[in-house]
Amino acid sequence: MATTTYLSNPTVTINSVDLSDQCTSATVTFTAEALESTAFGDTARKYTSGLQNNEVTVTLYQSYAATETEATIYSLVGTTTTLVLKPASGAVSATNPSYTLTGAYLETHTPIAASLGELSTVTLTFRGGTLAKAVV
Amino acid sequence: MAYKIASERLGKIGDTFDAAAAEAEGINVPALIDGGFVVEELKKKKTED
Repeated sequence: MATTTYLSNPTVTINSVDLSDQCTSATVTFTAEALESTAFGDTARKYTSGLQNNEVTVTLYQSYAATETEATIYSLVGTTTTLVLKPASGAVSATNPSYTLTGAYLETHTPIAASLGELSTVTLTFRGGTLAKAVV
Repeated sequence: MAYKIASERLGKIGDTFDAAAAEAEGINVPALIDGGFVVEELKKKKTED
């Protein structure tokens, strides 16, 4: 039976700050780099796991108000932090797992990215770090 | 140095913020201070009788 996931109320915390109500999209990419281990005698390519190379990309509405988006993000550029994302706001469980990326590096932030007549947004990519999934 | 939470986005305002525990979890505490999410907890002066 087909199932669908409709993310309407996920939670996103960046550096312990809950920015869920400023967030419009979030992507967690869990990657274990593939190292080729094919050798003579093999008839097909083979791979083994290398380093993790994880990434979280979020889109947030920009806000310069106190303790909002800009206050959270600006000082994180060039540093590492921890992000926690969940599909829904309820308790962590097998059907609502939490994903914690620890040691994620923020390289770029666009403090001003505005167009006339549109709400300003910022898209941030946090790279690297260790990803952990929790179900309890 | 002790800190207090200063924003509901971080927790209950006025609660003590455990900076050492947060740093152990990979939280960037200086960024929280810069952003005004936590403030230094002022120690009460002893008053002499």
